[in-house]
Amino acid sequence: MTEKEQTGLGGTFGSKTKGSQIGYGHPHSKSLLDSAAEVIGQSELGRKHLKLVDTKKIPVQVIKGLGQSGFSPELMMIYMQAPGNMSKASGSFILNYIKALNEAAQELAGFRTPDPRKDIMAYASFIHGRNLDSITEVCKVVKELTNAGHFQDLLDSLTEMGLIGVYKAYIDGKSRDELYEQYASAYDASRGRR
Amino acid sequence: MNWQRLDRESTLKTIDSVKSASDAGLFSPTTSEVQRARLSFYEGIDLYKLTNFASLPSFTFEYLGDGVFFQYLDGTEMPIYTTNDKGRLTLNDRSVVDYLEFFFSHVIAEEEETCFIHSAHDMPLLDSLDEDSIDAITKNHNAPTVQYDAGFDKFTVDADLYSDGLLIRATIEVTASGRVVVQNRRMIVNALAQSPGSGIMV
Repeated sequence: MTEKEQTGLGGTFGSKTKGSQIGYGHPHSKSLLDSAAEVIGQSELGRKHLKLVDTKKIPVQVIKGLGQSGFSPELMMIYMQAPGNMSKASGSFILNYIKALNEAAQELAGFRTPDPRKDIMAYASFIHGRNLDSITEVCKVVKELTNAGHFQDLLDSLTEMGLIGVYKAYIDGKSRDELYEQYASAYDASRGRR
Repeated sequence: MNWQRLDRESTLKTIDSVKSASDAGLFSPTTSEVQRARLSFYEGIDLYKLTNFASLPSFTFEYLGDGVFFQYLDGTEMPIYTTNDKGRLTLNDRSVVDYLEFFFSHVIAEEEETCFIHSAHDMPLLDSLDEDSIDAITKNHNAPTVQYDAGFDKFTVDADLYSDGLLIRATIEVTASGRVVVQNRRMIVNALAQSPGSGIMV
């Protein structure tokens, strides 16, 4: 691969950038997914999700970058993002992967994402409900990993992602409404940061 | 960041320039928008953000570009340095601080996210800390200071950084070509460890 293809520079700014010149694929994709699966697989629930996605052959693609990760219902594909120089799954990568696995599992279970162009309110309501379910699922997996070596990393990442309130509410056995309050405040805070 | 949404024609042109043939769905023109923000330290180079709203969370991709040529910001320093080497970087006592703020928000070094703290209120998750921690951070925070060394044509910036739950004071060297080296770090406040709200994790 030439420098031009790797960087999307248009080489020396001397020719127009074409999308195909930008290499979005992550160079350590396999290592990132393997190391994440190694941690997630220590949880019974995590193993279930990994197996389901594997059985149903949901593609997982890791791309370079700092944007959000998640499951694309439109493309029926999981997209994970990680900085181009990251070679081993970080805590936030693992948490996002669990969340994306659960989103894919829900879609496969028949909870289809509505078309946002038809009814934006129904879409928003569905997506926020799914987000909360997936984050709750992340909390369940993290709880199952309490005695694992990565537990502290995962808690730190939940804090960095603004989701420690949801986790605490989950651990305290709070109701779905109370979990939703924590989720909503985390969502508002993340919008504020952007 | 002061984002300006591009009109439809410019949006389509930008998407056409940056889209990946193998992941065309990620760059769908019907569900995506492109925004642009000016950067004080570049002449003729802006920050572009492409957002695909087809899913939530929305997929976002950021680029440095002049409207025709784009560098994808992949979380490493390489695309920023490559852009700098095109001769469009103009650093001065003021813009070097903006540059560092931009740099640390787009580069993850050693797999550790680092936030450049311009003002104490910039600190991530400040709202989740208790009053004593917020007070300690505010009291201990110092605004960035800049020194220019004309002999070596480089800037030395003393500034607060937030990394791994720690507020640290760092000396950062920035060359005229925008190369960034953090020379030393001194811990100021272990912010999260002081927060009762984080008792679950410390």
